Amino acid sequence: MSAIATVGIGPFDTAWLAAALVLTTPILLAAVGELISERVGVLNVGLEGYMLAGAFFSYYVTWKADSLFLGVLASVAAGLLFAAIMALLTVEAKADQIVTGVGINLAAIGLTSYLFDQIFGNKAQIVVPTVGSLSIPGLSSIPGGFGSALFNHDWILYLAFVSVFVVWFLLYRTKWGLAVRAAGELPAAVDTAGISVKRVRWMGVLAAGGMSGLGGANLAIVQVGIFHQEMTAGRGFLALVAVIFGRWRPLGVLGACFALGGADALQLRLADESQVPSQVWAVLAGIAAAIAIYQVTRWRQGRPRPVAIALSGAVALCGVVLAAASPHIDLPDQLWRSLPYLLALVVLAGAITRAHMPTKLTLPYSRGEG
Amino acid sequence: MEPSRVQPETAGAALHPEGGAALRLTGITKRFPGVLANDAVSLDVRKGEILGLLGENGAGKSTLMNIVYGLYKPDGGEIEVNGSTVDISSPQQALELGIGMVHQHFMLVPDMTVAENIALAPSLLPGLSRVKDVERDVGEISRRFRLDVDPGAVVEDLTVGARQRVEIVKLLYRGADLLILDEPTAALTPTEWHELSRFLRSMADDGRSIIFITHKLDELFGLVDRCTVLRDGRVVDTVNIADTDKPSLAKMMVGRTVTLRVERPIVEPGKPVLEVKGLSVADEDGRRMLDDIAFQVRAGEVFGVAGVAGNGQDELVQALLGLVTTDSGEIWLHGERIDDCSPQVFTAAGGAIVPEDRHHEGIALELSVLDNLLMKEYQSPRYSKRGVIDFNASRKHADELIRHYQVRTAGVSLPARQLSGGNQQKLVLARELSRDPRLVIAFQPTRGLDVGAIEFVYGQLNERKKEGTAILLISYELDEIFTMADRFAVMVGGRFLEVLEGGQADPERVGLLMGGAEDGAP
Repeated sequence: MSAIATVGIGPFDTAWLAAALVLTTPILLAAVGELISERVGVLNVGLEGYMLAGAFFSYYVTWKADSLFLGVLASVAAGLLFAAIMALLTVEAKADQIVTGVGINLAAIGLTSYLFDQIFGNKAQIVVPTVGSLSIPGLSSIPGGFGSALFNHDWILYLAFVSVFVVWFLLYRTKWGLAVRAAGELPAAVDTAGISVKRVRWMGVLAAGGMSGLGGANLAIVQVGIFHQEMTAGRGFLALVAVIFGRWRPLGVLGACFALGGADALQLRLADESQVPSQVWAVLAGIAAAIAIYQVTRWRQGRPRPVAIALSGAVALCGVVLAAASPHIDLPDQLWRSLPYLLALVVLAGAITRAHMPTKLTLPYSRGEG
Repeated sequence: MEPSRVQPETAGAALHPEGGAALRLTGITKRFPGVLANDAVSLDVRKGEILGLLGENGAGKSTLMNIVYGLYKPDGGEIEVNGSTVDISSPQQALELGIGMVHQHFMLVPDMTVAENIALAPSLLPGLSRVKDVERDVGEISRRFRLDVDPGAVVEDLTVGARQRVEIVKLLYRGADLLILDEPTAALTPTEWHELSRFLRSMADDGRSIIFITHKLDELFGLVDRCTVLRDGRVVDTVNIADTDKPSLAKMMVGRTVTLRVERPIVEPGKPVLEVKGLSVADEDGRRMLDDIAFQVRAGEVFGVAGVAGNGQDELVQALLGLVTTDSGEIWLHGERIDDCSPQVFTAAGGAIVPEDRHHEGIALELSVLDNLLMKEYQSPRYSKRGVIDFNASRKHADELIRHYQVRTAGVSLPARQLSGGNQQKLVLARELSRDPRLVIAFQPTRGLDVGAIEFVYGQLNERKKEGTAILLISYELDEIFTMADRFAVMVGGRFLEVLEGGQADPERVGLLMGGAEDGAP
């Protein structure tokens, strides 16, 4: 990712693209797992906890066993373990999903902080080896910097993006997918078709746990090679948001995760600038205008969302004005940092169409109660 | 497989058939905490026979069939399928034995297609769903049995009648030869009901066995061969349908003599109480749910709204209560304009509502009987002073209401959840009718009630009518409209097609209108 090889407009160059992909990966892994879980009807507020556990145990096992592969396995196992607790309490014992999820988060923060303190507390920060890049022959030499931006990453990143399409196939082309989709809508239909609702729901929760754990490993032993307390920093919650903005569909979730990862990357790029480059405003105006047009065509089809059109239209207009004027704005650092996220939220809010949440999300299933 | 329609002279033999029973239950007992749902129930269905299973709500019909389908585990008794004793501990086993069930609430996922719903089946590995193959097979089955089912349609776009056909195709696809139908006729138009009964007979003639669960007597005659009557979890008797009549079945079911005919009192209608002019309402997506509705309900009159569910009835009630914003039109209640107001304004103007879904809108299940009765009057100075409820006065009031409306409860401080469905509805009636309303909206007021409770509800509504209350009766049951309404409109797609006189309309034609035929011609 040398500066020479980058092309693009302003901060949106191939270096940004590469960073955006990297930053999308952990959120995407967790979100794809959570997508399956929410489709079976279980909401994992504890996603952050699964990730954190995954991050810590990948780091610990990589250091202890001196094996990155075992480290990755440990992250998945840790995520699965926490998810199994979740499933035991919510699917079997029918405990409240939100409360249980909050408990899981607190437990994961407490456990990882305690263990980290006990094991590494009196040592200097140990940096473990990280999962290396795997450049894909041929594709990685696409000119203009795109090859190295897209196809010169670790295998977990590739896995994350491929998983979107695998999950799409599983959901919409397999019997398992039918059961998953039905379990969150009308579990009684699954039950009366002779399929165990509990088994389907267990699988969904475990998918969320395993994939989030892997997302945690991506943070710890791919991106940096270290662990620090609460290092997931809200990414689990961003994944929950991405599932909602992605309208519970794989491609939608991919889009939402990329919007969040892209915003994160933009924030990093802007950190050393003193002024928002006019290209940022231009891109914002372009996206907002595209959304406005999309919503107008949907109105033609009889699904008006006047508020979305007004919002995206207004944002587009502001973007054009700001791009032209390119004003000098002195923002406090924190606000400055949050700006891209705000923009990402505006984009997502405008693009969203009528969402259909799984009808039985968060509701336990008992025979005879529908 | 010999055709075994029961002849009157073999009635005794039919009760103890020598063989050929597709399903035989012996001494089935099922206990729930505090309730004996099935008490040593024995019955049998022969091959090629339609058996009616008649009983009031809570008589144990659905529990019994859920046991046969493997959803509940019996505490005692024996199940025989085709002559051999079996243990059915899951729906999967029931399906393997050829038992299929159409549940009271359809087991169809609304946002999946017909074929996807039918393809839902157990598989150990994530095998391909092969929805295209299922679509082809389903198309073939629907052609062979002449059931109009589009395998590619999304379930939520289908009418209730079409969903019913999907459920039946699902059973046939799964190869069921014992079909259990749990109250399958709710919200069917008369035409759809005729089709269904004809179809069931042809299935039986093919050698399949059918158990038809119902609490409606009318449906049994002309359809079933024999009928087993359940009351309080016990079998009262099993009779040949040819040897019995409605009054004696009703008596068996309820345990006392009931009047099945409700006399419609003739009252000279007074001034209009409710006036609706050009009312239109659109949903969030801009679709027109109500389209230029206009009508009047006069004092001392029952005005009915007939129609299949989902044709704008919900929106009409919401608009009248002030729960949705109207696009255009006016609503006047007793000389006061109430459109786009609030339920409070509606109530203050003399409106009362018996909502369709009493569990969610009619009562608060976890609150006491007393709280439920007082819910719309707690602010009145009779029951509260300076924001503090006068417990003695309200208790006295509640006791009176319970006596007058015959609510069977062990006490006013019991949570409403513990009351039976019929008594919960009486609770709603007590609260709404006791406030001397000028207008009562009765939306499906007898939904899920048994004969005795229905009789009571009709009686109370007719009492109010005689005292000059205007009554708007919205019902999916055509019988109800014919029994109660002085005038009624047929509602299709958010519009009133026609306003008819209660006494003179032809049920067949009204059924066709409900089904969407513009002029009521087939």
